[in-house]
Amino acid sequence: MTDPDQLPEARAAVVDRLGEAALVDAAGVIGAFQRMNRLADATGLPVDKPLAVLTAGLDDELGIQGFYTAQHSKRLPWVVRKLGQMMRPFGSVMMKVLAPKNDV
Amino acid sequence: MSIATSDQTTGIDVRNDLIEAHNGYWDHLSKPGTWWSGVERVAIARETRLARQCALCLRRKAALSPYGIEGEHEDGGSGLAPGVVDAAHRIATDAGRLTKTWFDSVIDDKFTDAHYVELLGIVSSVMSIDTIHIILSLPLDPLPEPVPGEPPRQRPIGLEDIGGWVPTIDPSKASASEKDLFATRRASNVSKSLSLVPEEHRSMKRVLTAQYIPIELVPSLGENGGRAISRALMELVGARTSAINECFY
Repeated sequence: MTDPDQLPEARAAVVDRLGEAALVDAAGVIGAFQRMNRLADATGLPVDKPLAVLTAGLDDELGIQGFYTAQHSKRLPWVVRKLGQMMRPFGSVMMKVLAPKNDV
Repeated sequence: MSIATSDQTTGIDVRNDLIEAHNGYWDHLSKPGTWWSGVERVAIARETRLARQCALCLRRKAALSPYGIEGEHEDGGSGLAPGVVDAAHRIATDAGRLTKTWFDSVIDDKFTDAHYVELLGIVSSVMSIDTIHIILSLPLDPLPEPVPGEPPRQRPIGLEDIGGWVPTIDPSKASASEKDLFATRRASNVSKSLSLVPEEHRSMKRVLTAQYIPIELVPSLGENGGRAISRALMELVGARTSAINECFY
């Protein structure tokens, strides 16, 4: 949803179905990502290599290679992307292993 | 606090830790930073809010390329240099189409990469906090009165190039006074993005912990930090936000 006029209805739907605390926590996540998106995009940051491998192919499936900010990250070679796709079922475990404790 | 839903006003409790984190941020904003004075920091925050109604920003946002649209921002008469106002407005309204060429064109001896990183910390914080207020239909917090004082203008040591436009601290080479920034020797690129200005990095971590989840829980995808929505739903909301912002990272 990007239309502010839809906000009251969307807000009411979340409160009705999930409760007020869920609305606050969802709003918090949106606020947090408004920040993190800007930190990455306004400093031209490339995607971290381990994450890029683990999510290889997802960018094509989601169609986000067309985002302007995709040019900040070099496209991985075909072989590495295939390897990443094979590893995807183990993605959540690998994330935990590879990610540092204070990561964001 | 109360929020307006479809046709009625409903009382809602906002978590105390979230309110305290936001109040703590405004206090942090009011004081001299590392590169900007308190007056300048509050002026940058004001520009962040003005950018949402700035006619030039709206025209650029609607254009195929924002770089073909000339004009002047509707600024707050803060006395900030035009390049500083432009940076604040563009980061606030169209960060997904910033380029290295544009970055190089605004950075100079007076508006250094460190000034830019502190400005980025301010703009992204104000956007973040204001977004939450807008979603919850709460009035925006008033901007604080600036606290007088001079910024120390000190660069940290142990900087490295990770492929972005600004240097960041290499966690393995951080000085003793900056060891607290990173819990381990590895950190994601985005988590290092503000480290050229360590105080902005610390501020970001404090607020992010309350808005999202404690930083140390982020890699554990089953942890939701005791929030009222599942971690899977949190990540879906975050991914949707990123998609709307066209953030590839």
